[in-house]
Amino acid sequence: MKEFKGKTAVITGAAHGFGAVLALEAARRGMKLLLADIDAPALDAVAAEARALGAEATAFAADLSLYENVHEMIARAVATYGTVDLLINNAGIAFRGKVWAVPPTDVDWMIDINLKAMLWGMHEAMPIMMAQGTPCHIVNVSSGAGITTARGMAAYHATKHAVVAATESTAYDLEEQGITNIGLTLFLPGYIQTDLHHCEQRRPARYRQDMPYHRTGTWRADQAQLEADITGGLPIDVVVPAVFGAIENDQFYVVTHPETLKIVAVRAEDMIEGRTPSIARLRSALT
Amino acid sequence: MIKEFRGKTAVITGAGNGFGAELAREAARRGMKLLLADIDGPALQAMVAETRKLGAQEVAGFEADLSLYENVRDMIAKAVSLYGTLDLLINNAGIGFDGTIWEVPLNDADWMIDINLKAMLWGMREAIPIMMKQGTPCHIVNVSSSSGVITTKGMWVYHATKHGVVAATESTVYDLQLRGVSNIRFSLLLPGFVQTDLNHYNRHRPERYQSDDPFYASDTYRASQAYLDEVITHGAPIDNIAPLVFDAIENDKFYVFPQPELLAVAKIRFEDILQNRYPNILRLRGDDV
Repeated sequence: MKEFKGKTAVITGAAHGFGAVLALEAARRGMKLLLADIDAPALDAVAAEARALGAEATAFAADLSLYENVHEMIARAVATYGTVDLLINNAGIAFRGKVWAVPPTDVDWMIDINLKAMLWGMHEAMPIMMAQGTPCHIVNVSSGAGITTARGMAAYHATKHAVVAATESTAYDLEEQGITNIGLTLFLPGYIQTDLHHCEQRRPARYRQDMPYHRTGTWRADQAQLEADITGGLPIDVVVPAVFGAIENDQFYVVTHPETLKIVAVRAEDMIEGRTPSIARLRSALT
Repeated sequence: MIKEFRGKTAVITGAGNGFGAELAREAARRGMKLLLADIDGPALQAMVAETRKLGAQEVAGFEADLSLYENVRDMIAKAVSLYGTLDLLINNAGIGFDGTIWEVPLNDADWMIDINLKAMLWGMREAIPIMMKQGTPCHIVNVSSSSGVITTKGMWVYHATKHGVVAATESTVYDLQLRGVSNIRFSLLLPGFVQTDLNHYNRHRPERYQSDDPFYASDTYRASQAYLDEVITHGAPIDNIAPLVFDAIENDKFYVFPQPELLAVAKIRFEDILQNRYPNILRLRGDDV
């Protein structure tokens, strides 16, 4: 996709972080925007900023961990602008926690928004893009955690690896069926200064229940670690050139942190050599 | 790493057919106490009877839909209440089908995510605290697939669930290492197509994933079912699975590839990522896939 002016972009999680900076860049490029987020006031503010930049922008406030809302979001974009040219599946959450400790409700929430919402977005958008036949692109925001594994994030790794795997498989399906107008990109960032550590404030009611786990020191320490990781990440400026460059140049994998690939190499070797993953080996590869 | 199996407790999910049945037979021959779980009641009862004859010290069946957390929780609780310990958990229950992301009805994706991914996470969640407390040699086998480390066409949601299991298991291994917990070991079974009964998954579909989507009347759907029949019935013989898995349990092997040639495909994928190449089906096929 080389031409953006007048094209339609649907961006999820557009109220904060990656979604917000990508929305404003799309606005600068003269795109028509359907911006979705669960945080209605923050979403309205980004939509207003996009309009101030000269873009048409619609705010779609919804919990995208429900299929019906993803379905309506794509339908709304088509109803409002007539096409869907760019879909940026970005909405997602993060928390740390061990597989034996995290409450199942938290895992459900993470799988629903980090994994299922992205699958649904592709499911809904792709038939429309195929019917259009025009240059289209889908960006799935996975994570460096989608191609590596490390401690303390079993569920996060599961959802982010799953998105990578489903996107790769879909790239093969498009190629196999001779569909060349839809490009795919996997954004695989390391820690960047987003507001990912505030996702807890936007937990939908259906995943909220009184869980003793959320009063433990373990939980508080994990939350503090996440905040330190995010606030100590790379400046968010790296995101726009990386993602829009990938859309323009049909780049599939977009990695922001060089150490991510070092871990991929260790993981590949472990698998090929038949070694049990070792945290000591992982750490020595990074030093 | 378990060296002595006699009298130890094994919980095996999806034990009515395929890998689960093979592994249950081997556990029985080794004199373990078994809790066998499956959604398929008649097949499960047949395995309970067969494993009893094969020498299992004790056997019980647990007929349940493990795509529901409560059932996984109750399964582990039942094993502990029956036998007093939990030494080996084989997270095996799963389904498989192919189709593109823009065609497959989403109730199928939900079902696959719930049973292939979540049920395994729930199993680890429930079993690990018990195993930590025991402090005795314990093992968890997660049956993923070579599809958990490679990707190819038509299996987007299968790949998603199987990669998810691999990633969560690796991360958990790191967590236990950092915590200094060394009595719980893990294996990931990563087979290609094997002669199981995975192609009969629809017989085990819980009612809550039923749908009258027109897709199920399409040629695309019929072709996908025929493809699944073909690849499973012409897959590798199942005989080597139980020996490979029990060898991994005894000798602490993490990645278990019954078809090591599929590692060549994994290598292509890792190279694609490391060299930042767009996935290419011809490149993938160039290495005999």
